[in-house]
Amino acid sequence: MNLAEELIEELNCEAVFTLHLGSIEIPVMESVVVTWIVMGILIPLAIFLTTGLRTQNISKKQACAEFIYEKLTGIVGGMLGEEAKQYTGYLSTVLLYIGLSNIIGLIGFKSPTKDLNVTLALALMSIILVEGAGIYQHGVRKWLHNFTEPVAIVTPFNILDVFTRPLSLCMRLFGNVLGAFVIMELLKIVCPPVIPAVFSLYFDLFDGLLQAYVFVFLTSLYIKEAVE
Amino acid sequence: MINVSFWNILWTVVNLLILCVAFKHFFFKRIDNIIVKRQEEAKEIYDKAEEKNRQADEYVKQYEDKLANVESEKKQIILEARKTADGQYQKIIAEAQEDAKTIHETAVAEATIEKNKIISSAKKEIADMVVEATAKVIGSRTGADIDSQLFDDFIDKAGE
Repeated sequence: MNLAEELIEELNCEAVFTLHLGSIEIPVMESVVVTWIVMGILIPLAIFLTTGLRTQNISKKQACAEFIYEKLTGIVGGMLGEEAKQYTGYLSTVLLYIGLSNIIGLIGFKSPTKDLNVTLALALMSIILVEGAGIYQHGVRKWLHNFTEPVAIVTPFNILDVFTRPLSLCMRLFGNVLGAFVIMELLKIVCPPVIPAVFSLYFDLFDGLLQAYVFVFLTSLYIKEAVE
Repeated sequence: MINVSFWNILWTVVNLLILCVAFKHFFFKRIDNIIVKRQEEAKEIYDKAEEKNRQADEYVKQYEDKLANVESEKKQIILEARKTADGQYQKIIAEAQEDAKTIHETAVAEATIEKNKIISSAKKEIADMVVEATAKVIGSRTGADIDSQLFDDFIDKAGE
């Protein structure tokens, strides 16, 4: 099966090279390299946008930077609420990273979010942030006590939440990106050339950005809940 | 595809943290700072304007006070001038009265002296006439005639 092989080859995340640190071998996967590319786009862009900032007579570049800043912090800060405002920076960055990662497939790279390990890492960081925010806000005792809220009988489910939440975050993102990719590949094979372009708008662009938003939205929702 | 690799997760976490720190440093902090700075500048300008406004109000008040002062000062000056003028007037009047009195007194004194002079000269004349008349009578008559003649002569002379 040519198609199956092609799909598998596209889906597989291979080690691009391996670092040798003494006796330890550290493989560097494709997704990591593409993540570096994403970083290589985002960080210089941020530096470019924020150099030569002025308080008056601002340039178009600065107006653009401030617009992005206002929108990002507005959206993410609004979801987080007043009490968890300090996490706006991280979540905005994650939003940008996932958003760009999801649509970077358009220019020929493998989306890092198509690799389960990347979404797993994102979900892990999210849950650490959520629980960390809860502990930071309430202290360990109150945080532990919150597991028995609203009634003692739900405690096992609340504990289960700690694991299901990151799992659902991770799988939702991974599944959506993977599913979108598979559908697009199939469409490209079945009915080229115009129809895939139309569907690509939805699956590659819209769905990619939507999933980034959903991921950040849910994480901020959990954080908001944790600090309340 | 669905193989979990510890190194991959670690790489992603490290990458994300680097990206996050870089964004915080190069994007959020910078723009935050500039916005705060702009707010401060705006506040400064606003404060300055407020201060200017306050000063202007103060000046207006000062000038109003000054104007009011001028009005009262004017009144004061006029009052003083009037007082001075009044005093002067009284003084002049008094002086004039004094002068008039002096003149009057002098005149009276002079008139009195003149009168006395006239009286004394008249007395002298009368005495002379008496002497003359007496001499005439004594020269022509004697006894009771003399007396009556003397009297008549005197009357005549006085009647002249």
